Amino acid sequence: MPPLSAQNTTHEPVLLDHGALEEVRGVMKDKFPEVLSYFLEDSAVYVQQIVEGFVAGKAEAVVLPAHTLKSSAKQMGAMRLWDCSQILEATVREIVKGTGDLGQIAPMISQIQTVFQETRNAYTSK
Amino acid sequence: MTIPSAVISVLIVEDNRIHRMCASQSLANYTQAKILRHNALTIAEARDQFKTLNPDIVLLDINLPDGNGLDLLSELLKIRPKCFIVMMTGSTSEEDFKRSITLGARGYILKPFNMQLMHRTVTASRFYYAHIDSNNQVNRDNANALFVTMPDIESHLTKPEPLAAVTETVATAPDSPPPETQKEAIAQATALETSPQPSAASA
Repeated sequence: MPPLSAQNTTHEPVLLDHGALEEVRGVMKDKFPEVLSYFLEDSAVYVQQIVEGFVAGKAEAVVLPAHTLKSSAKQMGAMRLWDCSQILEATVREIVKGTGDLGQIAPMISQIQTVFQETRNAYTSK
Repeated sequence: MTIPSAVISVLIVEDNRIHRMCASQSLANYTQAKILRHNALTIAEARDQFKTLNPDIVLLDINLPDGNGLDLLSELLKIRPKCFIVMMTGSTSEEDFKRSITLGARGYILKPFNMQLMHRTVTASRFYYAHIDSNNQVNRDNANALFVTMPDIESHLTKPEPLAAVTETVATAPDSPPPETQKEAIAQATALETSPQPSAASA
């Protein structure tokens, strides 16, 4: 039992769900490295599109990459990335509807970049 | 009445290649029939492929780059009302779910999906096609047979059997002696049909 100070009290999801990952590996068999490579490659593009949409001040341009990133992250067991993207997607959808402003997603943009890097490192170090 | 055939054609309408690959490979792992897999990344591609390939099953995403999959669902079912179309989406919106069912989707799969769910979808489509007649009507006897054979579906899912055995079971059901449970179901249905209906006066 770790000391209380070391426990995760923020209910943050694990970086990788190894059970989900093993399931994908079982389905894809020898194509698993290929799908993982595509996932990392595509996710980098989605993160870039999210950043560009934010910089351009276009909330609607952030919705689709956040949605797609959310969806594929969960399929591949990247739970923390999934969590960040689902919060981002929900927030920008509200902004598109006229609730809130784009400035409020600045910390989320920063976080999603960091989590993506952590996720990529975790996959490649396995 | 026949199950579509030993070859089932599936059109996967999905712009995300991770989901497309996982769905496609899951279908490739289905052992009870040969699955021909086709991909469409957009609504425009799906529309063309649907007309040329005449697929038995369509797995249809909702959020697509050139439009909404629910609009395509409606359009495809106008072309082929009997087609077995299943939504495959990350949308947990109740509105999307209700609209899918109202428009005629045969199922709603939430992403991420697993291989078992893909296999259930294929098996369900085979039983579906086996029990719909050429007039797009559910035959009463066939429907009864479907309900009494539901445990058989479960057994196929847990203990895969060769396709030929499945086909024979369903295709010959009307001519062969039905199992006891099926006899009972048909007898009950017949009794309901022939028994006097309560009249308004007796109510």
